[in-house]
Amino acid sequence: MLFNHIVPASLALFSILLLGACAPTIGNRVDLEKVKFEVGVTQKNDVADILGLPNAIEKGKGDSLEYWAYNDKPELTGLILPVVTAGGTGTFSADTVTIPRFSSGKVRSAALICAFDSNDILVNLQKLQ
Amino acid sequence: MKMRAILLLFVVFALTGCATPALRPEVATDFLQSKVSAMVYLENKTIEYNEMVYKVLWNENRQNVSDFSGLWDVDAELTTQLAGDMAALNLAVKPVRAILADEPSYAALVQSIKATRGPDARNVPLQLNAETQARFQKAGINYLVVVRAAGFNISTTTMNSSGGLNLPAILFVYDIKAGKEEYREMMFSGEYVKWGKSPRNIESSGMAILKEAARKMLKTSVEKHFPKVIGLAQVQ
Repeated sequence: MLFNHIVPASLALFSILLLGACAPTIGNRVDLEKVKFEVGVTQKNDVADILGLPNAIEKGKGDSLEYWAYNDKPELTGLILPVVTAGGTGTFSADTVTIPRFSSGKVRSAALICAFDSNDILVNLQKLQ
Repeated sequence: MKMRAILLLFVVFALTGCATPALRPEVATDFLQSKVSAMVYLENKTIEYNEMVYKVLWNENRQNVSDFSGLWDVDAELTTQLAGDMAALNLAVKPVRAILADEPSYAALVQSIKATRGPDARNVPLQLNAETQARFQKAGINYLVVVRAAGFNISTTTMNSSGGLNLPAILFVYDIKAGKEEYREMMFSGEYVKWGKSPRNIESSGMAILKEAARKMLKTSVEKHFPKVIGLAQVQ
């Protein structure tokens, strides 16, 4: 009887806790899937206003274009997991394990690349993922 | 006797801790009477964001880098700011560009500054080449002050709507006459910033919040710290 109450209550509590989980706030301002830029019309400032600054800016080699690269989300650099470990006296204590960063580099897998001409007009757009 | 020795040891430790180093007195005296040139150089024209994201059962560390190279001439703007803030301390200061206006000579100076980070991130003394040194001497400049910074960074959690914007840097004082680095130290500049929903709001409206915070943090560093370095205020 008691078990019948505890399980649903625990599940409800767990669900509420999960709803409290947060999303990163340091990513692009808008989901890259949702953005619509117009080649030949959109300007550099428009892209910066809508998405934020790019993860990397490079001048083209052999052309006069400037390339802006965007990752689809912030890079995961580590996890902190609570791990229950046995204490020396038969009690349990919470510990943490930090997994070191997986990768580095500004743009390992760009999801969007914008090319601008010398007048800051978008001349090419590639969604890569 | 033992107690006195322990007390003496404690006093020595206390004096060592958090001491702000400064220019040697004879150099400081000369510095205050000399013409000086100043420069800020950011190795990375970027803002690095680090955020701890709460996921209930675990926490994630996320990182994002925003590149503003070519969009803001941060070196020029902060160099002008640095020169102005130093001039407010009654120093005769000119921004580096006023002496090295042409691109090749400025690039040579930047190369010398970059070379202060040796292999394996070891510190290498700042050393100007003969031509750059001669240019400064010709302009009557005796000392060069360089602030070399890595780039801006913000470390936060998903719960914060404000926090610190940091610009970790190294301050160099180079003696033009002697042709050698006279002084260097770590210089931490930071400014409290309100960003609202996302730290990336500091990029909005042409990076208005970022630019304002950068100017303020440099001004504070120069006002509060520089007088100690050059012997205008008592070293603590």
